[in-house]
Amino acid sequence: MNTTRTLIATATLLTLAACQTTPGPNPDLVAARSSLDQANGNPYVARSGAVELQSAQQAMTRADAAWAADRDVEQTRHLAYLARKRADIALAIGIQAQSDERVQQFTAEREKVRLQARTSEADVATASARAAQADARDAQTAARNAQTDSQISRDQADAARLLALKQSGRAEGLERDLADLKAQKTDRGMVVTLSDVLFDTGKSTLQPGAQRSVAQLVQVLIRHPERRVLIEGFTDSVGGEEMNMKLSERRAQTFQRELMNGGISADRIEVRAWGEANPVADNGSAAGRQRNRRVEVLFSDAEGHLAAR
Amino acid sequence: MKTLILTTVLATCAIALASCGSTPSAAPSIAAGAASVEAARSAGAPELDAVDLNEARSKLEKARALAAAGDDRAAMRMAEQADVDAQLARAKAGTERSRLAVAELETGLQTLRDELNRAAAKQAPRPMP
Repeated sequence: MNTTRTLIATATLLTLAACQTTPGPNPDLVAARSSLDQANGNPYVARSGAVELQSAQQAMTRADAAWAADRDVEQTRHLAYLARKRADIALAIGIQAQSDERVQQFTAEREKVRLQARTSEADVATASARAAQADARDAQTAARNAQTDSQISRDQADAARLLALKQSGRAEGLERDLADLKAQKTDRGMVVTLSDVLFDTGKSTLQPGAQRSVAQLVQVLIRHPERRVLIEGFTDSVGGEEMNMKLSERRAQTFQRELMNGGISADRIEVRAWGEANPVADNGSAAGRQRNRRVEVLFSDAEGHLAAR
Repeated sequence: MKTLILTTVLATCAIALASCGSTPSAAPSIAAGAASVEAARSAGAPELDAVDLNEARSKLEKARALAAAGDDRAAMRMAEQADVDAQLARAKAGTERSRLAVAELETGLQTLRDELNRAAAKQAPRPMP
């Protein structure tokens, strides 16, 4: 009887035990709680998987409640499984959100790097262009320098040529300048002859018309500062020799004075009186005598030497 | 007396067992589980999270078998588990997809940076005018 009662009691207890194990932590609930805590601890889950997290929370509550109410191991295991899986789902969604955020970050960064690459390429291109520009500038400068050099040498050549031309052209220049004065080229040099018509007869003063000839001679002497002149006075054979000598001297001196008045220095002018000597025509005729009454202006060579008669 | 006590105890046990869970039809749970499995399949779970998807499919088959055998209670549990397994497979497929995208971007970004550095190194010797 006692044995029978004990048996029954044991069977009852075992049956009840099938529904609820001994008090203490249920391992399935513990595992589910752990997963839920993990999901809860992830900020991305709260942000993006709120619905799933709530689902997991509810499943957990159900499992806890089932265990507390009935201690049904199988049912608790089942509900704990659902709670754990719902927590895993929430966590997966959170992790996906995190990954999606990184995708966005990387995409933005990739664009930045690409832009950087393009900028860098542009920089390189700009640098190349700048270098090319600099090269072009250098070439231009070199060309300009060469041009300047050649211009300088050209200028130098021109100057040399001009100098040679000037020097060789001085004689020509003198002849040209004296052309108006009907100068003659003699073996002594250029000679300008001024007839006595420029002088009053028997006098040494210049007629007004002679001033033009004097001015022309002054101009020639200013243009040819290397030249000196010898002013020679001549007369015809009329009259005494002594008197003719004096007359020729006075006329030559008159001419000298006129040139000096024009600004020609005295040391460039020599004077000589010849009187009746060195006639250029026959004193037997009036025309010849007129030609013999004259003043000759002899020009020196370029060095200022005056050829002696 | 002895019979009465035994009957009472057995009745108590039966009530106690019955109180552990009701046994409604498993069909809605199985349908829900099947829908979740299909959704996971569409989401690329066969390639991205085959483990959880296979678990779900396997449990769904068991649920159907249990339902066919008349064990609605076990069938329902199995179908509910298949449902969350399939939902997890779907979620993990999304996670895996994003993870792959991140890895791909990371590699691409690194390649891009390397190229940029190489280009910069190549250009560096040229003196700036």
